Amino acid sequence: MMVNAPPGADIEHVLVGIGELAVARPPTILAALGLGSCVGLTLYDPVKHIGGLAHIMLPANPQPARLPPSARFADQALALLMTRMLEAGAHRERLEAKIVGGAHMFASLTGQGIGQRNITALRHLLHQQGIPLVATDVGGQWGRSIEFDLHTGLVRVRSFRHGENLL
Amino acid sequence: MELGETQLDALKEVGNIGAGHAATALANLTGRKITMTVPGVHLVPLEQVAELVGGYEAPVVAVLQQFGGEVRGSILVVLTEPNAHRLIRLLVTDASLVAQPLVAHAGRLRHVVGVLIISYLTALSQFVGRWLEPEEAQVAFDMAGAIIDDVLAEISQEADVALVIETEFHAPDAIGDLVAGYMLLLPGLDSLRMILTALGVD
Repeated sequence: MMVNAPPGADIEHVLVGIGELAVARPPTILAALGLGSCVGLTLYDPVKHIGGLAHIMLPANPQPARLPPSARFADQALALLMTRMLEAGAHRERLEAKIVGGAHMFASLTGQGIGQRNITALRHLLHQQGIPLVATDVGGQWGRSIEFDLHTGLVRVRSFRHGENLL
Repeated sequence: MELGETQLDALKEVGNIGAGHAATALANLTGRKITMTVPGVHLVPLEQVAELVGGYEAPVVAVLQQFGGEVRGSILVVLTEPNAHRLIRLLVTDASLVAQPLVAHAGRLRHVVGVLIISYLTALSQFVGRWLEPEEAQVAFDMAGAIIDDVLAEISQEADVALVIETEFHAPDAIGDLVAGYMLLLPGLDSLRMILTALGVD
């Protein structure tokens, strides 16, 4: 999907939908649009400029025996994304993570929202794997879209509420 | 879950009955004739639901009503910003009040859409002979994709698809424009089975 017209109109934008993941190299830009309680997880090897993005919906697969592994679930998304990154030539010890999203869109829904549970799960999983979490733009009550530039490893976050934020 | 034509037709009938009641309630509230139709009942892959409501990044006003009890699920009403403004004009005659930004009308939008949803749910509950209890309606102004995330996350714990009963409503506002809105009924999987059983088409 072409998110931006020129400059760089020839740059491929890969849209990562709910429960999907993608791994790419420059000049591709990986994008996830309209993240609410969902979380966009990026992994990046800054030396090889290989990056991956997963569009995660839930903290864990509730029925691992029945539902196949999917990037929909944080635990499996991280494992799948790491595998794909390493297959693409990334080095495990250089991987850096960023997470965006995990909002609580409907303010008065009671209890701990699914967004916060997604964030907590990812922090825990990344810590377990020893992958540094180098930047976050999470929580709050607003939707976000992200574009992940594989040249620089920068993640551009856009929202109606707060404009742009570069991670 | 597989749904044949008989099941989808029966679910469309449920939608029509709910829509009829909701139209009457909205007409009583606004003093204007409201038309509600059920253009379709679909099983939609979760990743495509955002497209149904205008696309991931479409700016929308949404009211979410979750319900529990014997039948559980969610109803989401989605209005584009121009349509939300038209709905405000249906409800408010004071021009300076109408001119305020949509966020200032959050309570009013939640109330009027809430009335519409409750009448829909009451009809649904009576028709299938099952008890349900609506939770408090919530309103949000943001990207369509972000707004639908919570609902999809709930559904995705047990299914890859959402049953979506679409409803469109139309009403002429004070200057003759039509208000058009979109309502999605998203029952839980076990509730869907219960509804089909109650209709005799399981």
